[in-house]
Amino acid sequence: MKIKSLYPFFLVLPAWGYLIAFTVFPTAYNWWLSFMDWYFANPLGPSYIGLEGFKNLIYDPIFHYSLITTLIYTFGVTLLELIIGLSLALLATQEFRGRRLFRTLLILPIAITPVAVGLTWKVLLNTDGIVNFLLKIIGLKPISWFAYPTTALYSLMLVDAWQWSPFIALSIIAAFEALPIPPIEAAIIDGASYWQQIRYIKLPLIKDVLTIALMFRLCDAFKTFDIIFAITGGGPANATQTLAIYTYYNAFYWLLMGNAGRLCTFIFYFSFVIVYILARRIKVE
Amino acid sequence: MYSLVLRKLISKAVTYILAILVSLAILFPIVWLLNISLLPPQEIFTYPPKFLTEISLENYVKVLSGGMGEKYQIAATGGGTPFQVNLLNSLICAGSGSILAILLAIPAAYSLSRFRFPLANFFRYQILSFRLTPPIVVLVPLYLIYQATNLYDTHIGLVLVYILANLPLAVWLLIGFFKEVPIELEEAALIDGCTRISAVFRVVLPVASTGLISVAILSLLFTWNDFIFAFILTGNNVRTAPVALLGCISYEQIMWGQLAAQVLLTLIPIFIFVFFVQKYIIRGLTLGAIKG
Repeated sequence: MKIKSLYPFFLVLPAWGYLIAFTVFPTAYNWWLSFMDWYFANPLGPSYIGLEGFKNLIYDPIFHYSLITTLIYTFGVTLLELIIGLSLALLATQEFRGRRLFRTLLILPIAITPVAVGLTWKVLLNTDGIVNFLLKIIGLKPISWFAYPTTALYSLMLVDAWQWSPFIALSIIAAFEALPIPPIEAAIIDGASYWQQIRYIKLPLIKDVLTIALMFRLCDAFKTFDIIFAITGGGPANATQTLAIYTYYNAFYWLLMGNAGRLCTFIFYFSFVIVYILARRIKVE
Repeated sequence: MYSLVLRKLISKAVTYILAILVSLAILFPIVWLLNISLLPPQEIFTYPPKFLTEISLENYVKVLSGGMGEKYQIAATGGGTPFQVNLLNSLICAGSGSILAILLAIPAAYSLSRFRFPLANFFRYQILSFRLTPPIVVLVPLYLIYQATNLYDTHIGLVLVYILANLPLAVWLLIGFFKEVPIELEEAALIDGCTRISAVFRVVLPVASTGLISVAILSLLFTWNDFIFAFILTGNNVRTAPVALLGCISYEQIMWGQLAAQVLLTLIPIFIFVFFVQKYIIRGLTLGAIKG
């Protein structure tokens, strides 16, 4: 439908304007904060320090460490969830009794409050918790999960995968079911095995769905706050401190609003660059 | 021939075993939480662990009557216990945030799904990109703005950011759902003398109603589950259920039993939700990827 007036434009305006208002002002405020040194409890308020703050940020080792932690977490979790999600989808598309119930079960982790997921696994993966007990029964060594810097980040990634792999799985299942039948029938007639059908026919056909689902996951993983904050709060020894958590501590724990503003400015443009690169690569319509 | 039957049998068995293992992996955490919530406090981290050897409802009584600790007694305004007040806060804010977001999203999504106009692609891309911005980036400045404008710790303040949180996904999904409505249907209504607005109300929205419900349910679910917005922008007045959950562990000694009970009580609405409206949840979750 082509229309030669401005009103499609005006229909978009309220939603767009709302988003802009709630994003542009905060972003501008972040920029302003970036040039300030502001201890929030200081009655004198903020003081101008120019680019000094940015210089400190660039040389801040904890900032580097948080950035690396964030990247490991983001990409690690997405890869893990792709592998588990794909396996779950293949399993869920087999013929077996209770298949529908199985799919209902897959929604459950996605629907549960992330903080509750975090707290639940904090109980289960406690050093004296049930999972370690089960490990001992089958003759394995107990693992210190969230208690040691070396294992904490990977344990968090497992919890994230528990919650979000089903999302990838459900996306793949839906995409499989929307596939056209002729190419698959042709493959079967040509004698393609089950794995060959998956590898050479089905997966290439759902490539677009998969990339978009992965992009959603990648962005959400980059934002992750709830699970990490509920389980480790960034510890032990900063091992799980992502950029979001580090920003949180700067702003609301140490009350260093200038630092927080600089971190926010960085995260904002950093996430934009990532999204832009990904969007270019997969060419979202 | 014989080996083929055997192979089929084995693959069937493997399928069932894997399906059962996955189901266990999903259900076990919840079952174990239930176990812990029903044990008396001193029995929780015993060796070997106990499974429903003793059942006491003590933890549930404590949560329902007082919530966690003295600090949260403050939240008990209007005669409810802290736990009830928290749930009510969650419901009010998530509910109004979702409804208002959808009301804003409908015209935008309709316009973007039906018309080609300059900047349409720019809008589409930009609205989606808001979904990809980490919330902490807007939360630091919003906290300062809220403090200065007395929006901090109010229902209105939280609803305003919940609209922000819901809007991008709502627009994105509704564009997909509106595109599924055949354009001929709408043109027929226009020829029959409907104005465009009444065509939208009488044809497009009813036909896309499944989609609308999906979007409403997903928005409600995601904002009901929200932690970070409420955690940063509210205090004792408008404490929501997820924030109250974390309140349980900020004490020196974690009361695991009460924590488990409170987690389960908070999740009950979600279990009911998943059971009754799973179709809509799946549709909403997967459409985002499929129609992209």
